[in-house]
Parts: sequence; structure tokens; C-alpha cells
Amino acid sequence: MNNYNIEGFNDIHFEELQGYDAVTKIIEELMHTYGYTQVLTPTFESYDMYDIDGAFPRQKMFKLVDNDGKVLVLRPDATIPIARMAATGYKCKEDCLKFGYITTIFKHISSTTSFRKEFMQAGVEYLGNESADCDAEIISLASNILVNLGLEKLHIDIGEVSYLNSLFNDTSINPTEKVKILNYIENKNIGELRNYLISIDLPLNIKEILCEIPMLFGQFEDTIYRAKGLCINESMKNAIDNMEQTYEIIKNYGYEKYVFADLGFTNQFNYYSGLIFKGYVNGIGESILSGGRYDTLSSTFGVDRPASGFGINISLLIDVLHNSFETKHYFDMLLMYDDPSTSVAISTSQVFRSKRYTVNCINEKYSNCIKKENYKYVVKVINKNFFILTKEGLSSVTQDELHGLYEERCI
Amino acid sequence: MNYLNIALAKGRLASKAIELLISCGYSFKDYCKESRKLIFEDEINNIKITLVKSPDVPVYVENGAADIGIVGKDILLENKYNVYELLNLNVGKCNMCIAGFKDKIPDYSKKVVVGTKYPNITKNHFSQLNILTDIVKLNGSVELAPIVGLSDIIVDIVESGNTLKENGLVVHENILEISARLIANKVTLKTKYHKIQNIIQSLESIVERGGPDEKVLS
Repeated sequence: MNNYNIEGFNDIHFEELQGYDAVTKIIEELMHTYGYTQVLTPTFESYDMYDIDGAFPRQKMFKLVDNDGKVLVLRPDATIPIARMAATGYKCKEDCLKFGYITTIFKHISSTTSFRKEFMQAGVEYLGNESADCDAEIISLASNILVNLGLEKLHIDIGEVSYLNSLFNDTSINPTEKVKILNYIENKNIGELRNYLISIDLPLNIKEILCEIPMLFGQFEDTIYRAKGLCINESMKNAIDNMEQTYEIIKNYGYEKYVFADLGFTNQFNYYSGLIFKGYVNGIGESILSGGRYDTLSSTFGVDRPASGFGINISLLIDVLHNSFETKHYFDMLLMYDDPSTSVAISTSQVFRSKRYTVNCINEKYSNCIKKENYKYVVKVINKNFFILTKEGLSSVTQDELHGLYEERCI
Repeated sequence: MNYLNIALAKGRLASKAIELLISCGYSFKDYCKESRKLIFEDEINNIKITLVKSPDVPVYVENGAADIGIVGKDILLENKYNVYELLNLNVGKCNMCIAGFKDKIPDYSKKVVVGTKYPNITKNHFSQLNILTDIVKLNGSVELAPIVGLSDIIVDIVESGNTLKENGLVVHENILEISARLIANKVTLKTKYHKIQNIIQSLESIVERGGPDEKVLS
């Protein structure tokens, strides 16, 4: 027998799919209550679009070639296509747009906690609003969703990419050195960072600040206070002010207890331009939520419009929630019949179905492997007589009593 | 009840790491080198040590099964993990080397066959130099590979060089310095920061002094 499974791509079975349904329903409803409209972009996008300014690492994309020789990619990210869609569909840059989406993402990833190369992601993109209100709403909506899904150990870190970038403003650091420094900071690798800084040419005060940044995280107000002390120019101060304002507004939503600060975030996607954040649950090192501000991305599509958004990895979320989905009583009734009762059993189930009562009607010969716990009632038709399975065993019921079951439910 | 869980790489590195922790002021009563126990506790400071196979240390830490861990840089270079790499502890030092027969330096302008436990590190090193390689992934006793003709050279960790010498091989070139690193889970570094910070600071001062204090150990 051949094995046709492809690594990183899974079948989704009934129980798991129920989990997806439950989760996406909650997410869709919440997005709706915050005023977001759902959109969908194509599964295929142009490779060139993802290559703008190295917006996306090339080796992480699934590529294919269409009939004209044009290179396509399977949607490796949802933000860039929505920015494109917003720019082509809504040319007026004063338009304020709020889009939500639930879609599949395809990405070559190598991580020990996530083996999926195709996963579901839910998110929102809020375009045309550059204020802290917008960022606060985005972060609060994300918290609202994760809290409503029953995730208790939620931890959201907020950072600002311009804080760290502005530190290099007046220096003549070369790009490769900067990338190396940012990498050490991202990994909070204090030891190597110090060693590396000794070997390169930078003003001493900047080196000292750089050594502080990896550990510049923790309780929000306290961290902001420490970060303020390290500012050496206006843009760094602005970055901190922006974070403070956002935090103050999040307090109005009541989600500030999940929010912490981390100034050691660097620009993971090149399109992030300001406030960024990541959310973790249950101590898992891979982030379940990530997002931020991308004010310059839209201008590459011809409309200069500030924007902010987030994405939640639903597949990872389902793995975390794993056992909390109820599969009991997924159907109302299992109706098993013997050969002589075929016609009466089928006509009865049709009556039930017309009342939106879910019935699995099956000849008892084939009913061996059916999970009875998925049904609210199990009914047998033997020789045109109806019996219902109770704790005590089979007991006879009349057609009228049987019809009473769905009427009972209607009340 | 809030324990800090530390994952350590079993073997030589574990005893070095425990020495470091003891000189930080923690005590693990039931620990001795010969013990087969895998979990040790410091009940006063609420610290728990778990001994696992070295490639598993970052896996434990990444998934939150341990909050911090001590593991060799070789493991962190071979695979990517979602963890913070906080400190270079400067213990368990050794070199990642290219080794082979003394008089048989391979012709690097042609394809070279390399035996190694570290295929990714090997691949990265040679592709940077634009050298074509075939990599034979082995799980141990890599020194045998050139002897039995499995490969031209090997890439492996060399501490004293004795194993190489006894099998008739020599180091051709050191490619990387390896030492033990302190790694942390991305979330619990923040939620258990005060505890971890204490460990970071005491470890840092020991590293600066140049190693654990012999007096404390005895």
C-alpha cells in the first residue's frame, strides 16, 4: 500500500472540525460586534507582491507556475493581500476600513511545536486610522476573543519597532551589523550581544542602552518607566508615548491585566512600522497571536493609508483547547430498523427531518460501529413497532410519544 | 508551590551545570553523580531540576515543560527553537571540528563526503564556503566513518582529541567554539522573571569570575 500523506498537511476529522466550528463562530460573532466585515482574498497570489522590499522570506512560500509562466504563491500571509484589496477597492485614502477574515495560510515552517504547513488563521485589519484608539481596539478585540474561548493564561507583550530603530538614527552603523544586533536582542542573548558590541564601532552610550534592551520587559507601567529613562531622541520618546496612550485606552476595555511590555521586539516582518504585539497562552513558546501597525505597506499599492491588524493561529489554538469540545448529542436521534420496517422507519425520519430534527436512519445490519453517545435518543424499529433505548433497556413507544420528542424540544 | 523547572542535558554537562547552580547557593540534597534519578528538588528555593537527553532540553523549554535550561550551543545551532538564549555560561567548552586522516586532506574543489551527527551545521558551514558535500548522518561513533570508508572527513565535537587520536584521526580545522548556554521559555521568562533573574545574575557573576567556586563545592 502506498502512503500518500504529505508531511505538514492533515485531514481534519469530525471532532476536530467541530472544534473549528465552535471557535470560528465565536470569533466571527465578536469581530461583528466590533464592526468588522468579513472578506476573503484568493488562495493564490502573485509571488512578486510578496517580494516587495523582502516583505516575506522567500524560502517560506509555496510557489507554483501558471500557464503564462507567472509565478504564484499559496497565500503565506493574510495582511498583504488585504492591504492590496483595500488599496484597489477603496481609492480614497480618507476611507476608514475595518476588515475581518478567517482563512487558511500556507507556510514552510520548521518548529518543534508546530508541524502544520497549512493552518487556519483569523484576524482583522483596521485601515485608515493612525491613532492609538485603533491599536487599543485591535489588542482588546484579540484579548476579548482569546478570553471568550476560555484561555486563561493569556499573556500579551506590546513593543514598538521604532523605539529600537530610532536608537540607530544618528549613527553610521552598517546594515549587516544592525541585523546581527537585532538578532541578539530578539533572542535576548545578552552574553553574545555584549561580546559583539565590544568588537564594533558605536558610541559608548548607545552600546550601554543596547545592552539594557533585551531585559526591557515585564509589568507595563514599570517597563515604560525604565524605557523612558533610556530615550536619547524625540522619536524614541514618541514611541514610548504611543505605547502609553494605547495602554491607557486598553484600560477602558478592561483587558490591561493581560498586557505587558517588551521593548526587545524587532521587526519580524519588514512591513511593521510602529506598535507590535504578540500573545502567548499556557506557557507555549510559540505565539498564538501576533500583529501590529503597518503604516507604509498600503502606499506600495498606491494608496497612502495607515493601518493596524492582528492574526490568531486557530489551528494552534485548537491544539491547545484540545479536549474542551463537547461531541455528545451531536445528533438528535439514531433510528435503527430491521428489513420489514424499512418503509415505516424512513417515512418517520422524513417527518422528523421536516421539523429540523437530526436523524440518522439506518438498517440495523450496518449500525455496529455507530457511536451511540453522539445521539440524544436511540430508537429501534422491530417489525414496525417502535422501541426507545433507555437506561433500563428497550421500552416500547407509540408514534405519538415519539413525535412528542421534537415538540418537547421546540418548547 | 510555584516551582521553577530547569532542564539539564544529561551527562557531563549536567554535573557542570549542577556545580554552577550549587555555587549560586542552591542545594540538591539527593544529588550525586552516580545517581540514576532524573528529578532533583531544592525545596527551600522551590527549584526542580529535570535531566533529559541534550537535544530534548530546548524542546522541553520551548513547550513550557521547563522554564529554563542549560544546553550546548551545538544543539541550538543544529535546529531552530522558539526560546530565548540568555547567557553564555563558558563551561563545557569544546570545538566543532573537521577531522580526518592526517595525510589525507580532501580535494575541496570536488564533492566531499562528510560523516556527522550535525547535518545542518555541516551543511551551513560548507555551503558558505561554496563546497559541495554529501552528508552522511550518523548517530554516534562518527570517528569510524572515514576508517570504514563511509566518508572522507567528519564534522564532530572535539573536547580533548583523545578519541580522534586513538582512532588514527587528526583535527583538520576548528569551525566553531561550543559552550553551554542558558536558555529560557519565551513566556515564563516573563511570568517567573524574579526567580529567573536571580539565577541569571548569580550565574553571570560566576561566569565573570571564571567558573564555580571550588570551596563552595566541597
